[in-house]
Amino acid sequence: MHRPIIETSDVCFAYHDGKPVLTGISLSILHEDSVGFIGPNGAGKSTLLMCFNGLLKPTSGTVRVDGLPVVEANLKEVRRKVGWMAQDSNDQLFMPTLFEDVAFGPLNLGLAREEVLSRVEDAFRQVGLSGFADRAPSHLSGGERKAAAIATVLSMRPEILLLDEPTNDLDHASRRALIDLLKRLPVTRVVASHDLEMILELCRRVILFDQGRIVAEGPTAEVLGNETLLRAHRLESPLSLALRR
Amino acid sequence: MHAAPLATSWLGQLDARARLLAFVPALVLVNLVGRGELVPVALAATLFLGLALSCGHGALSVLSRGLFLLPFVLFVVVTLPFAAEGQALFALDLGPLHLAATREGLELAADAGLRGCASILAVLVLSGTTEPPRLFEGMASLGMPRAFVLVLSMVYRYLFEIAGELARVRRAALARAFRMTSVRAVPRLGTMAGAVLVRSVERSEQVNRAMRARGFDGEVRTMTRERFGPPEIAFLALFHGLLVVLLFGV
Repeated sequence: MHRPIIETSDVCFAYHDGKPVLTGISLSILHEDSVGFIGPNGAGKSTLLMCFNGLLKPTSGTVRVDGLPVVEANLKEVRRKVGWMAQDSNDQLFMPTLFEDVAFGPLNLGLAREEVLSRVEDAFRQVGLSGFADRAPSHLSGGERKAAAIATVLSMRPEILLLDEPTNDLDHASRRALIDLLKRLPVTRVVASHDLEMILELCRRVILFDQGRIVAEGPTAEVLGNETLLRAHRLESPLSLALRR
Repeated sequence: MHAAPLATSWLGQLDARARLLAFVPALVLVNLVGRGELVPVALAATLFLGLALSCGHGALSVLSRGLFLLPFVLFVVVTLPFAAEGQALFALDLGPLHLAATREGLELAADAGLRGCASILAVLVLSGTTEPPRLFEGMASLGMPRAFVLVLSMVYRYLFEIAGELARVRRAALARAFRMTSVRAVPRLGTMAGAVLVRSVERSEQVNRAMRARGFDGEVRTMTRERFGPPEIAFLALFHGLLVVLLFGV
């Protein structure tokens, strides 16, 4: 837990229109830690997650994953270590069958056929979708689709899991199943979400972003219990925390 | 989404490559037979029909799909007798239009109609016994360019999403008293189609990110789970042997 696995130093990012999305982000995430990124819409949470996987290149500053700078030459290794899951499962599941989707990553890693098959089977088992290999993504419920999207990342055996709004559009039972699944996974988790109840349950630490900057960070219950701070950044304390007081 | 009712039949259980290697060359062979050879083409069509029927339950639903293609064949059959020069059989006077049907035209129509039907039957048996994902997998492992197969797979995957998107846009418009049938609706329909297109472009960017995040570097890597064994070899030998005998009388 004490070894930093993601480190950023003064990361800035702007899209083509030049408007800054991230400004001077310096943070460190420890191995096997579970960190929540919270903040209002447009705070830069999703953008920062994409910088961790090398999907977006910071305009300045550095990102390191397990000591490895996230630059073009290291992208293959970085993407093996860092699994990123898109907000919309329909974007994550782009092949006609789940098997092809879950095998997509391991095939890109250049693994042998037997290893690919074993990883696919393992990933399906981990998310509770054994026997779903030949199903089409469009034939799944929202919860199954989300679990399948996680399987596409798990088959790459990542050390870090980046989840962007994982509980979006899920009913209560599917949301519960997803949270329980994420709790079981023995990886470093970084979760960007507006679902503060889920963040409270899943994350040991949270980082609060607003207008591309870090405005607060600390133990989850402490930050989420600070109503004045949350309200100042268009957030609201989770109901379960408020009821405890 | 998976539209192959005969996928669990004996033919559907074979490796997808065996069906591709049977029916794609069969399509070519049916159209290679000399002009006017009606009996061999009819026999080949009977072979395809027999194969469909031997797959049991679901065969009729697969064959009924052919009804959508029949009008095109009928159009050719009806117009060809009047399009070829030769010995006149009868004439139609439609106002200023004088149309003469010829024996050569009729023969041409019968030939084209029969070949059309045989080709449609071959395609129906192939598509009715093979789920599209297995078809794509088979195509890739038979050496078809992988990038092309990947694009084809994605088109198939997202076609239904785009149709859903269109339906949602349409419903949203109708809910706000939009009338699709009005002439004034045409520019609005264009705008709506544009909105769906823009959303599709945004989705393609997201999909591209999801692909790169899982190590995609431009090289398409695929893997087949199909097994090409003795049953496939026996099927191909029998099928092509019979087809060549029927078509060319060898």
